[in-house]
Amino acid sequence: MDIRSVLGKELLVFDGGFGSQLQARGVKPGTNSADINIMNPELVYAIHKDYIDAGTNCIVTNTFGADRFHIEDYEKLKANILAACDNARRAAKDGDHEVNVFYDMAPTGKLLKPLGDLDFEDAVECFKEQVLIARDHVDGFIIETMTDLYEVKAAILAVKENTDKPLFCSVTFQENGKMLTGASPVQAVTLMEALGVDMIAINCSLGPKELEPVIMEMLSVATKPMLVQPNAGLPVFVNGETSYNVTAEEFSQYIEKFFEAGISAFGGCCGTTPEHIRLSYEKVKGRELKFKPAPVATRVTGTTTYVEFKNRVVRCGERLNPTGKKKMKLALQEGRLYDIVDEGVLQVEAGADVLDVNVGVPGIDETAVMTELILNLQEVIDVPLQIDSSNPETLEKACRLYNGIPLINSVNGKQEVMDNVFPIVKKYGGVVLGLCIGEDGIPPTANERFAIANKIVNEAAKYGISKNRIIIDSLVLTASAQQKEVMETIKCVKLVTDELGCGTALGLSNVSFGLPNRPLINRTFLVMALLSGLKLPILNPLDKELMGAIDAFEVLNFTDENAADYIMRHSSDVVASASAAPKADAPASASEELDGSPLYKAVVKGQKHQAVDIVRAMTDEPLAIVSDHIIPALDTVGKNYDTGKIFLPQLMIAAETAKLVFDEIKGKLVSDSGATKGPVIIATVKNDVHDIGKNIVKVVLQSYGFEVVDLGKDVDPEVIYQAVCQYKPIAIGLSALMTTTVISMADTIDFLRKRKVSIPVFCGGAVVTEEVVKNIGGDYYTADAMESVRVCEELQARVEEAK
Amino acid sequence: MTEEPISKLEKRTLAYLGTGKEASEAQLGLVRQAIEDVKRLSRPMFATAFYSIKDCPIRLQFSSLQKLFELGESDSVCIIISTIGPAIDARMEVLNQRGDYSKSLLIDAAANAYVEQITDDYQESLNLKNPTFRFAPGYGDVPLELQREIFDNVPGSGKTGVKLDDNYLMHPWKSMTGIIGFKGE
Repeated sequence: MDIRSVLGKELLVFDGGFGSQLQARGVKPGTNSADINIMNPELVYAIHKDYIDAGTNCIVTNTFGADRFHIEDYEKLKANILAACDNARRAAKDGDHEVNVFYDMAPTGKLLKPLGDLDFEDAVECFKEQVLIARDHVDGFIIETMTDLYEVKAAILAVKENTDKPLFCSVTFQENGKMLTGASPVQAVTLMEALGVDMIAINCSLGPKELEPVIMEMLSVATKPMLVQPNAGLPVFVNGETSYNVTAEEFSQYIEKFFEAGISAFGGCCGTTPEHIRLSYEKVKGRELKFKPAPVATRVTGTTTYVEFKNRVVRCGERLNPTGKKKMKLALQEGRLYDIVDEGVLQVEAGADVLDVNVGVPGIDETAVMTELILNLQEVIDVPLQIDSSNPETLEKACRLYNGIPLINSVNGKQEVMDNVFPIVKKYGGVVLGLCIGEDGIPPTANERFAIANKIVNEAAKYGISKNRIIIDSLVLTASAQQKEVMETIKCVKLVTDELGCGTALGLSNVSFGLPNRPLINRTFLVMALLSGLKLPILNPLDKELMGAIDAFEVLNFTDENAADYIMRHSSDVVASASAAPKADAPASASEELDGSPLYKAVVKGQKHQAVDIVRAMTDEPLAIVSDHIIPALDTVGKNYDTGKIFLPQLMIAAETAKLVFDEIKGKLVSDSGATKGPVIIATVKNDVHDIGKNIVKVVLQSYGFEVVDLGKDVDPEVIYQAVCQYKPIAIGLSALMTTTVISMADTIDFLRKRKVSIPVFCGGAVVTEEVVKNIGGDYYTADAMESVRVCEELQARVEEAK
Repeated sequence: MTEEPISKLEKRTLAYLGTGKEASEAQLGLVRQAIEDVKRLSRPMFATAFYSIKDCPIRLQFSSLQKLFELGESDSVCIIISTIGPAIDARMEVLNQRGDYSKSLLIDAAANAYVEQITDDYQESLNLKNPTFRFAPGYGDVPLELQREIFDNVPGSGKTGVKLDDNYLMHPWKSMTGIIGFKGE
């Protein structure tokens, strides 16, 4: 059977639960189910065969967890996968009807960067390895039980880059209707379809009843056929045996309901049995499929959100672009990407739906910086991004690494550019901005630009990219220099909207260049363009008047029904009278007014950025900064902590702030002035990997001006001894959390004493007490970070006296 | 501004951070932000096994467990392995490297509270009859070594991604095991 030719036309029946069947047939819990392929092939065969006899025509290999992270030895992995394929093949051959074998590909069990520690490309490699082993032994691939769309993307790329066989992809939702990483059903459908899977699917985690709303939502937007494989509900313990609480009969009723709603295939997941499949199959056998593809939509996705281009205006933030922005240029050159992320956060908070990202600065590796910045942005920003570069290599890499379906800025009417960019759009499923630039530049009239837009759309069609994935930018010229061409842009927006049916974008700010009161020009131009059909203005979201003009337009244009959004955003607007209106902004933290210098206040409140800015502007002697501002602030914070007025995280934030201030003035402090203290060596002892307590001590000591040598966690006594020889500290701090590792603490002290190290040792940690310290030969017990400061201050004073 | 009531999760997080008293607005703000981060990073997974007490392959004859079972008139046990996944560990490592120790501490506390909460919720969904207090190895006279037996006898423990090291510590860190007696017959 050519699977692709029957999709959405003929019913495909998948199998049901496999792990639960293995256990029901006597496999000991705790055994790696993939190992059974070799240990007991006949058992695996029998389960496949039972499902085939129940009516299944698509069986799935027993390879959940057959990957390099679960089976490290490649030869063993390969043997396992091949045996799994063979078991399935044999069963398929022995069936009384035609059966397809799908290779089952499950999650790695790891989380990808930036949320986890697995590199995107390492995830791709992990899946690719399986594809290469299995591709000649199966009829298709099914990626299943996916909880993270980013991992879905890695898996899809791995399959599509290494085989042409049909690919189905199945995701998993929680009861709240979201995937574990927060993605919605619409987002999942958008991503899987845009990356070119043949069938979309949902499986596991919940029973059919709980999955129903998610299945219905997916069907309502799916343009490709859909497979559903629910669990048999939750595990329950009845009469001394584990079973699941959805019976085969109940399960089959739901499958029938889903069939009527338009699914094209069904199967089961955890807890379902051949009986569940048999009964379900009997209910729908021989009936015509009800699959109706949903209308094609224009959608882009971020990590947990998506944007659909329909009747509403989509606001694209323009500020992540170094052109004309000195500060951003510098941040890019110095690699301070966090500052840029902050700028992105500001724009989203101000109402941007999408952010344009451009890092075009001479002298940097554009591709490397772009991909790094995208990772950083997607760690904290969940809206879709618009990847903006004229370098095809940068676009390719960024689109590949991007978590979701991006906007791509841009292609234009030049043949070479289209040849370079469209394959990227096709492969990574983005929506692309098409600029009305031809081989000879930007033509002056609307009709000529419209012709280029047509050319772009026609060329894209050759790659199978429909016009719903193209947004035309008619290009804004400067009113001061090319005044008569401003209206040509507006006309072109209208032509594209009415005649071509594509979405339209414009970068607004250019229009006002060289004129006074630029915001006024921008605002007026924006409204003119919106009226002509503009859907994606690229603008400064921090310009409240500009954003407000869109809000107002949407009310008047009847796209913001009942003016709901407008009222929400503008009900507390203060309308300025002719005279100067008072500022309505209240200070961000109005909680408690403090007496003292600005630096003192910033440290007490833990305002890191402000504190650094303040100290940079101060002209006081460094020593005076320490004694008159930082130390009093830390004393206040310490007192507040001791009296329970603030809790530990607040103490630490203040300490981190003080440390940043110290770092700022460190260079100016004269080393023998007594202002630098220490060094103090600290470590978590061998075999112990807990370092929270040690880190707290570190930052608090640093905030009091101590130089701290942090040796990390699980530290060998020999390493501590070497550090003592090298740094000649005034004290050594040891930390241990577990009763089992206090022994390591004793061993470490013993090791040092035997080598004639007489430097005082202070000890801390959850299980450490005054008595323990005495018994293991330590000198001081420090119950908390503040106590360690007192001990170190005392030891420092002794060292000073001895000088 | 309307004041939101403090949730159980927030209370637990605050308790882990050592404030038993009423939390200030600033403290609540920090805790709420940390909980939001933790929720975003979490990937809850569970594995469960049921056994009748008399033929459970996991040793249960410790006095602290037996007392619980007696009190609850339990004839069966439910064993749970739960985790919120590896992302929290990775996040704390990144924060520590960045020197953002205060945030790391907040995340740590919120993650502790969160893994407890999702385990509570999961346990609730199992609808156990007359459940006892959820017990874990390492408390009372139940040795930490029992962790190994739990992992060997709960089907699907592999699917959760939780692994035991030689010191019987679970990785990812924010994982739990639980033994609950109940009436199963």
